[in-house]
Amino acid sequence: MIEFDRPWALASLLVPLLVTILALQARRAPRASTGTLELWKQVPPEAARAPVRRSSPPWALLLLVAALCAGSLALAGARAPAQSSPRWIVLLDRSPSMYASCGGASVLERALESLDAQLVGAREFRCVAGQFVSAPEPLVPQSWLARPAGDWDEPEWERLDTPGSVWVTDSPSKSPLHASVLRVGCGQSAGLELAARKGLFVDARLEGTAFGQLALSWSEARGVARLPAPQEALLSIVVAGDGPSRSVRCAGRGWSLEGAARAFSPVFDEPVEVWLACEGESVVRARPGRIEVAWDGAPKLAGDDLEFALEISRRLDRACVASIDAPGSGPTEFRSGEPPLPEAPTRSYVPWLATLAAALAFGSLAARR
Amino acid sequence: MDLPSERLGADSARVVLGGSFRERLERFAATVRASAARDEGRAGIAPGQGVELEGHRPYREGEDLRDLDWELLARLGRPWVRVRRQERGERLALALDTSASMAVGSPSKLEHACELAAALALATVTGGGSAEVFAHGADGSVERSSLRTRRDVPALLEFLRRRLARGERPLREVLSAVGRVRARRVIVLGDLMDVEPVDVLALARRGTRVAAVAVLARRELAPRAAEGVEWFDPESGDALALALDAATLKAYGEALEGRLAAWRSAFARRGAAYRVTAADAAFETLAGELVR
Repeated sequence: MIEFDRPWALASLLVPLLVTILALQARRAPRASTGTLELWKQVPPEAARAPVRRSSPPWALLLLVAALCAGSLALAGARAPAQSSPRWIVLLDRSPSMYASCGGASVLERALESLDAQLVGAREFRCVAGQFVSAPEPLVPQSWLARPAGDWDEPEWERLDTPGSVWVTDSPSKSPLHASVLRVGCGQSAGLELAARKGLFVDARLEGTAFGQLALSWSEARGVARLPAPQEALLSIVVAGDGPSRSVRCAGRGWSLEGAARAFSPVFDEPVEVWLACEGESVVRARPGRIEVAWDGAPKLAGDDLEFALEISRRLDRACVASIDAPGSGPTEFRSGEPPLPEAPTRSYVPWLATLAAALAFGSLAARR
Repeated sequence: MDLPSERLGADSARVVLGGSFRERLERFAATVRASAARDEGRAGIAPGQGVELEGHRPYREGEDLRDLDWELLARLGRPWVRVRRQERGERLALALDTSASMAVGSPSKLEHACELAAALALATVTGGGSAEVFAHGADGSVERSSLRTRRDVPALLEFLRRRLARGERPLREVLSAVGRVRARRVIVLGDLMDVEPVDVLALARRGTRVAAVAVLARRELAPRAAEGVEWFDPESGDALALALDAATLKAYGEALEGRLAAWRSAFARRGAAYRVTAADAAFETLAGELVR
């Protein structure tokens, strides 16, 4: 099957249809009335019986019609349909505790049963256990049901903190921003926890600062609730930095900040993105679910404060909002029972069809000559 | 490759007689009148006299042998015929074929036949005679329109414009109606495909001269080579698809010539005139020849 981005453009298929009809009419032996049919019947029988001769097949017409059809399909945005079943990526914790016995089966086996039951219909998985392995069927390789030999490496959870990912673990060491979590354990009912954390926590010490005010304005504009504690928040903006305070100045496009800041402690176990650096030292950095600010007190903002606000706002969007324009869903919330799914991959046929149409059109022109 | 029907335009069952036809008709009548006056002045012939000798010209195949001047033949060794001037006060009957096949051509054969009929009738009235046109009407019966004076011309033209080439309108029915009137001259206008020479020549009784004009479409007279044509007979509904190559066209040409020659020969034997004309030809030439 083929799906179309602009199905109304399929009406253009009438053009090749019309061309075909007109061309075939033109090719048909013309009908001419005469009062002398008896005379025509007197021509030698071999001539009378001879069928009306046709020239070679109308290659130019056939190629032209094919080119028009291909062009119409390209115009309509033909593409392969989205896969019918959602595609999930499962990050499986194969730490030793997951192989503890639990009523005749391991915690991991119980977890897989639960996962299988809860994701009915979503049978296409990519299971990950420390490394990315494709294992669509069965759910996991049989070998994974046995405890891994040797040392166990913690999965890189952050690499799959995306919509459509499910972390299966008995003791999550990280809190996902976008992934769902299947928290399992012996003696407790396993349940799929959708990424339920929401809202924004802003450190009270930032309230008087330009950055804090900006974050609060952003959360208000985006409809993100402000939470009193960082534990439940999707994103926390906190004051960090434990080095000595020193005066720094940094500038962006038309704006500048000047004030005292403390140095951040280095981070090795998770990704860090520097948002703002002054004189070689980062003063604002982003970690998963957490924005850290190193300002000691309120820095002085000068120049184009609107440009500054836009720049920080864009970064906050990227940090927290996967699909801010998605209608009907809040930017940082997942509706109950609807875990965010990855978009099913589709393949557009438009370039291929456009190339084909051009080639056929050239072929038609060549055939006419 | 050119196709006859496309090149010549679509068939039409209706008679138009539009455009400059009325002016051409008047000019034709004036020419006839001037010619008659000139002849009268030269020969001193008074109106009402019989058929008068106008002169001689070479004999053409199919002409009435009664007009052959045997004395000139004996003297010169070549056949010459006497050319007679139309008799004053003669009564002309025109039989018009309106069968469906007369719609063929562009202009149609019927259009050209009506032009000829109008011209011949008007020329006759101009010469002091009267004319009647016989043709099938809309209800299938044979109707007639008389032209006794020039004032009757509009009525005649209206009569002709109401003719429709459709259905099977046997020309024999029209000939039968014409045979019931006492005309000095009868001219049959049609493609003459559904009658035989004997049907027309039956009208050539004592004191009645008969002429027949076969009006054929250009595609019938001289079809051109084409990849393929489906010939269609509008009267019978039969169709025949043919590739119009040189051999086929040659065979058709021979068949057509054979038929025309048979008519020409039959009419010549009875001293009657037989002419073939194309539907897209100017009516003045043939009409002028027929009224002489």
